[in-house]
Amino acid sequence: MLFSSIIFLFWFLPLFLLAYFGTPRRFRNYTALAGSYLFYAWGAPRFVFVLIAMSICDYALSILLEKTTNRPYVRKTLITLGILGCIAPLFYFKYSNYFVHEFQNLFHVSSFVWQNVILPIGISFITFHRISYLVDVYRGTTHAAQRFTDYALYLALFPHSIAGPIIRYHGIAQELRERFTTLDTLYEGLYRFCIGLGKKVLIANTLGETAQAVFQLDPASLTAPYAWLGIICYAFQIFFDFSGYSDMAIGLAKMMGFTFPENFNNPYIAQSFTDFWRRWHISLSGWMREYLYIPLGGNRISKFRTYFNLWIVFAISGFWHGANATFLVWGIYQGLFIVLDKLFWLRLSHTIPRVVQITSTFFLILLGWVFFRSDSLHTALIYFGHLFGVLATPTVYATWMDLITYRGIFVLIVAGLISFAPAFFTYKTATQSPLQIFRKNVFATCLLLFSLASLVSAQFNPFIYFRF
Amino acid sequence: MLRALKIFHLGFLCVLVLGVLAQGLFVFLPEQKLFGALTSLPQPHFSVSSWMSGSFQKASDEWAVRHVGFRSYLIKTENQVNLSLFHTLSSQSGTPMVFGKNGYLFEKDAINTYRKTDRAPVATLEESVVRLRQLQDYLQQHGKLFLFVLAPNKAMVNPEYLPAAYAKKLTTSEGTNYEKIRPLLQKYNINTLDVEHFFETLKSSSPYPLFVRGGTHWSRYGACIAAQALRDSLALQTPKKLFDLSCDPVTTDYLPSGIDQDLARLTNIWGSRSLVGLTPHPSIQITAPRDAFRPSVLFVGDSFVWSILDTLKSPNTFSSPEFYYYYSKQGLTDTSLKEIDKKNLDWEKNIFSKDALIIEASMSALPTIGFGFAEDALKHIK
Repeated sequence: MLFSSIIFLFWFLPLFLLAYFGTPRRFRNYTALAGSYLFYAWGAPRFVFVLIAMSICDYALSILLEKTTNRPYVRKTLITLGILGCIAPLFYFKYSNYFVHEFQNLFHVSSFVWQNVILPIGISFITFHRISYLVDVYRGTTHAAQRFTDYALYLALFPHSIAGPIIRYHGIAQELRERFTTLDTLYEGLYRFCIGLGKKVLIANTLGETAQAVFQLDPASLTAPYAWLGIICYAFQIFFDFSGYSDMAIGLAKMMGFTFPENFNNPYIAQSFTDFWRRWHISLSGWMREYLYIPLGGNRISKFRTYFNLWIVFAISGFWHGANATFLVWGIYQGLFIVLDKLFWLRLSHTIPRVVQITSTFFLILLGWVFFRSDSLHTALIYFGHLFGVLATPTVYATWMDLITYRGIFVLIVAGLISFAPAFFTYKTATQSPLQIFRKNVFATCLLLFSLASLVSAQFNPFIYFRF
Repeated sequence: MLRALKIFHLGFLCVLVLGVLAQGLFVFLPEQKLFGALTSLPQPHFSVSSWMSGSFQKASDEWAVRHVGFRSYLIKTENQVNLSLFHTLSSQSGTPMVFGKNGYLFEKDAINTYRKTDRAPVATLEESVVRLRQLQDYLQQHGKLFLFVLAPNKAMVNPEYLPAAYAKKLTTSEGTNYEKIRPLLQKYNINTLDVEHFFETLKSSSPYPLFVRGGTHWSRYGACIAAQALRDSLALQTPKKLFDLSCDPVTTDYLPSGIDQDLARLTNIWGSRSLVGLTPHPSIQITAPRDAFRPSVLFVGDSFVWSILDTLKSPNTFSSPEFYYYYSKQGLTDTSLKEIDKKNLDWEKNIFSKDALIIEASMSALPTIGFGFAEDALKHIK
């Protein structure tokens, strides 16, 4: 079930909120849990049982971890088993198809018959939530959940279960036990949700059509201008799609009384890759730092090892996004520039004008998105060839009108302004006045109505990150 | 005050959501008519197996979108905004459209044919023409009339109204499918009524538009003169007297009907009438002497045939006309179609007993002339 679907907006969400606020406060976790399982089961009816089983195993393991504080060897064994128990399903459901097919292609083994495994929605995010909970209990950062339903709700909570943000258990542990929804949280949550919906439907979906049209072009027809148009549209599509989804998740959580952390902070005005990863999918980079980079040694070891570890972390982060070599290469590409930042760019950056830093960083980020968007490394290389005019385009079938409409051009300009204006203007959160509230009301209503009109007209459009 | 504004806003949104839900369920306000062929959706049916397979969820999602309240209002508003603000046509109907100069609407397929982006190999076209020749020979041997009608393409007849981005053809020495098939039709001596060529030559001298702004087919006037040409082509094949057809006098107004506004209506905006321009209305007069030959006829083709049938709907023209629409459904009007049972088709009784067979093809259908009819007919003959 997508947040931007009619069935969610007009059926699930209103009925859920009715049930949720109609439930006495002390039982609301049960309502939220039931609603979250229904939400998950809607998209993955079989895997909801796997989710419940995972919750039971993790909860039992966390209790055992707390009870064995004086037995370090046992604890270490338990946490190792726990982490393996988290990674194994991810590997099986997400990566087994890829590795089996690669093995078959590499060794020309056609006799080995493999039934493709279906990828359960949200498995990547669920896995990270599970690992962070178990490791935090092991480290003593947080106590094990007092009740099973607390942990089960943390894992299944529908605003974030499918596509993040990645929340640490201790970040919402208190709210799982006790939380309040006020008029302000309900209002602000709804407002945030409308913002996210508008970003996703009105901007991301529109630019996604152009990106799709370009990436589907016959390579013989892919001129350099078309290629740049395609990748720029994709860059904005993925940003507004993912940040829009995060806004909706944050808004929904707020309506229920939970406070989720921000996941994006104007990433395209980053002045370096290091800066970019402090602004893009912030919850992911935080998780990677906490549970991968630091355990590998962080920056407490030799410089060479530190850079190597950074590269490994980003390679894994890239591969986490999808079972394809393109994602791995994208991750390695990100890691390369992170290392280059450490080597010299961050030291030089104070001598370079800010505009140049932002432009050059955005340009390199754009090139990285080619790997992310392409189906294969071969396709990505061909795309690069067309981007820089290296490959010929003997017969250009498409005209620019086949790729983008005037509405698309308008939306592209708006997307650019929204993405880069914060580099030059600071938005001050003024004291709320009646006029400002009124403007917010009108703005949110317009976003909702225009999004609804667009959704009904377009009928269907999936999130980019949905299958992670 | 702030609190009141927030409560008002939340209340307003609740009423909005409830209103949309209620309208979807009970249809308090009549929904606007949306134009275009829509597939019917089955009602979602819940069962454990349909839930576990995901088919219930998929059907429910589609049902929810199709039955959301004020759906037609939302769609028309979205389309109107796209057109008025962005000069863009929403083309969710499955028939991509392009907004041209002077308000002319074009089907994207028609433009593709004009720009040569849908070229088929000459061998494919020649195979189709050879089949037509074999069919023609068989029918002529049995004293039947045969005619192949090339329907015109709006983009090819009126390229001056194409948007600049589409005005230029592909830079290839290869011709359009039409340019490639014309010499083949001559080579194999096919009885052809080339309405495309007819319209291109007639265009500059025609007092009335052969294509109107809001239609994808020939205008009703264009259909009438095409029907005249069809009658003349048939007359060349038989010494018998046929009916006479007159299209005069022609009146003009801005009130289109039927084919003259099919594209305009498909835009599904609030003011689709604004998309149609001057519309010629021929006064169709059909006369025939008492001893005129009224051949029984079978048409095989696409939607261009409807307007021919409409023009010639008089007992003085043909006896027992039939039409195989895309060789998939049959009927004389688009509201009375039934499936063609190809497996049990009585070729002798239903087809070869006819006095005349007319196969029509539009430009975009040239690679598949007859939609399989000629192939099946020849199988039967052999």
